Formats: sequence, structure tokens, C-alpha cells
Amino acid sequence: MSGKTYRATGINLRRMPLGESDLLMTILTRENGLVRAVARGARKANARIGGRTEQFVVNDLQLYRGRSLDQLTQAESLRTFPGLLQDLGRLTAAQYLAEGVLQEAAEGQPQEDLYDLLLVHLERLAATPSHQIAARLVHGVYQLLAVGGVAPEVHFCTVSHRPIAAESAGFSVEAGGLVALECLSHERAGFRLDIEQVAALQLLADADLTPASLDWNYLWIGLERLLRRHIEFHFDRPLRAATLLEMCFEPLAVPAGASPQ
Amino acid sequence: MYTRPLARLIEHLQRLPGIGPKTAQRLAFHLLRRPKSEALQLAQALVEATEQIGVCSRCFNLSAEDPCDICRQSGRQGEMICVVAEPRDLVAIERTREFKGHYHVLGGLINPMEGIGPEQLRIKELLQRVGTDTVKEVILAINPSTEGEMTTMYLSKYVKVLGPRVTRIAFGLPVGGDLEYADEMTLARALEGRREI
Ligand SMILES: [Zn+2]
Repeated sequence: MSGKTYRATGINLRRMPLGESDLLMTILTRENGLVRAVARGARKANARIGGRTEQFVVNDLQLYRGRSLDQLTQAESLRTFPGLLQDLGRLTAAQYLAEGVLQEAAEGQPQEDLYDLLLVHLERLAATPSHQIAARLVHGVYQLLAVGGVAPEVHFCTVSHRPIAAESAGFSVEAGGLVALECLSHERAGFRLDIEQVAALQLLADADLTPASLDWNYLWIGLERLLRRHIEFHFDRPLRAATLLEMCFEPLAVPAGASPQ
Repeated sequence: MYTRPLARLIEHLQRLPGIGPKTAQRLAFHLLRRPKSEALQLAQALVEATEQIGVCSRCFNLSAEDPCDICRQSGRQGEMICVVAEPRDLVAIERTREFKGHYHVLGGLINPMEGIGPEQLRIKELLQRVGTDTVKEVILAINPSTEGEMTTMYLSKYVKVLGPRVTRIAFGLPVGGDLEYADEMTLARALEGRREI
């Protein structure tokens, strides 16, 4: 294999049409982080690469290093998540995760932890019943942020650093996490969270959610808004996929008071 | 490097999709080498197209008349609406000469990551059509991509409650293609869409 050709394992996060029949792919690879590569002729109906360019397909890839963009020369699919395509909520949540990962992932360096974690959470989402999608989404978002070291602080007050137990507390986007109530006055932009919301936030740091907590649908829908603010503040750009969540959670419109603020 | 009008021409050609600097340069030199009348005809065609073509207020296909040719044709079955993302998809289906119903052009697909939601597409207008006309079947001729799936799931949810049957075109092996070369996703789709013979 020549020096310009390389192999990687990656999951397709985004595909955009390019030129007459090409695709511009953004792939999270385990070995090289985010890779932007052109798949030539991939939009033609008889393209050999076919469905392997679809979003959330995991491929064994062969790439050719180009001057500005790499070229995808071969792909063998290793894994797909058909469950994602069966439900609008699952698919939107998966896109939310993908968009977060696109903001967070680095280029040109291994992203093994982020990659492995994304697959775990997509797999969970792909099998999630509608009323637990919000829980799975919020947990996935938190965990993906945590692996990059940018998750909000949920165990200590970000102002006084005292541990926060089962109590109501504030949340400050600027401070990057929970704020003890006695410190909240210093943080003008703080949200007030009740005991349940604080407890739920703290659960997010665990590798998996407890079965009971998966059913706290309204609580998670509220916390999604909070995490969304955190992400948008941190990366300084809107999360576009998030704005479509309401469309999917619409049958369970958020009751007044269930969301922070 | 170029005299000013030539530089401007190249610059404008370069803005077209799929045209890089090299191709733009080649096109510009070609236009200048040909008789002047050809270039003027091209310019006039551009002006006329942009001035006269709008969208049909029923199906949102590109058209110089409103309603468009297809919506006005008397031989077409009004109880069938084929929903496509873009006008070029409509053209592709028309070329088959197999479909005799009406169309509805959405103007794109739901794409959360690009910030395109249902309210930016002609979905409300489709639901209005389905709700008022005597539509018996809505055929979704939409790409099997993630965005296509999202749009299909969204549409079927809202169209079905209005009564008509909602179908989707089949996906699978390209005619003339070899089964052994088909990728797993395509084969899975083909299996899913199998039918009794
Ligand atoms: Zn029309």
C-alpha cells in the first residue's frame, strides 16, 4: 500500500452532495478523528459504494490522502443501526448526537474513546421506545461531552467547590455546571433546579442510567434544554438538530414548569 | 491576468455548481470564440428563464404558467399525488411515462443538521391538497437517505390521518446491476421491499 493510501474504521456523520454525482462525507474514524473525504460518483444509482455512504453506517474504509480533501476509495460496511430508521424521534436524537460529535471531535488524531462511546449510544437509541428517547439522548449527550472533558459539573458547586448532594441547586451556563443555592446570587444567568432535576443530572455521569430513571420523560426533556444551552455556550454555535426535537416530542408537549427557567 | 470583462465572465461561470476555475476559463474562451449571436442567445435564454419561470401554485413544480402543464392536463388522475423533493426528481419520474397522476414538490427534505425543518418545506400545502381534493393515494418518491427517511416518517404520520393510502416507491437493486456487487444496505432494502409473484 502506498504512503498516500490509508485505512480507518469510521462512522458516517454527514453527507453532502458535491458536484454532479459526488458526495462530501464527514466521517468520525477511530484512528484519525474527523475525516472529510470525497466519494466520487457515490450519488449514481449504480455506484458500487451504494448504501455504505449513508449516515450512521460504520465502515472499514480505504482512503487516499489528497491535498485538501481525502478521497474515499473503498468501504466495507461493518455495522448499521436499522432501528434508527424506524422512528422519527430516534433518528432526530441520533442526529443531535452526531452534530455534537462534529463540534467536539478533533481532526488528524485518534478519537477512540469518542468513537466507541458514540457507537454505544447509537446502539441504545436504536432500540429505545419513544417515551425513553429523551433519557437516552440526554445521557448520550452528557457522556460524549464528558469524554471530551467538556461536560457540565454536576457534583460540585462551580463557584465554592463544595459537594452538592440531594438538594435543589442552580445551574450556570457561564460557570459550567451546578451552583449551590447560597452562591447562586453571584451568578446572574443561573437556572434553578429542584431536587429531582439535580439528582437526574448527577445520574448522567454514570455509564448507564437506572431502569427507573429512563421513564422520567418530562424531566429529561427539561434537562435537554439545559444541556443544549451548555453546548451552545461552549461551542459558541447553535445545535441545529435540537430545534427539531420539539417536532418529535410533540405528542408529549412539555408541561409548564417542567423545563428549567 | 484577464481583461476585466473576461475576468467577470469567468467569475460568474465559476459560481455555477460543479464548475471549477479551469472549466470556467474553458467555457469563457469557448463563448468568445463562437459567433457573437450564440452568446447573445444564451444571455437571452438566461434572462427569459429567470424572468418567466416561477412555481406552480398547486404542485410547486417550476413552471412559466400557473397552474403548470402537468396540473392542467385533463388525462391525469387527480386521486394520485406523487411527492418528490425537488423539481429534478419530478422530471426523472415523468421520463418513465409510467405515472399518470399529479405531483407535489416539497422543495427539499427535512434535515435537522442543516436546520431544515418541516415548516420550511411545502408540507402544509401538501396536507391542504390532500385534505381538500379527492386524493386516494399519496406516493412518496423520496430518496432512501436519512433525510428521506425522516421526511417519509413525518409525512406518512400526517397524511394518513387525512384518509388516503400512503405508499413509498421500492428501493433495491439497480436494473442491470449484479446481486453479488450490491452493498448490504441496498440488499436489505431490496429484501424488505420484496413482493409476491
Ligand atoms: Zn402544477
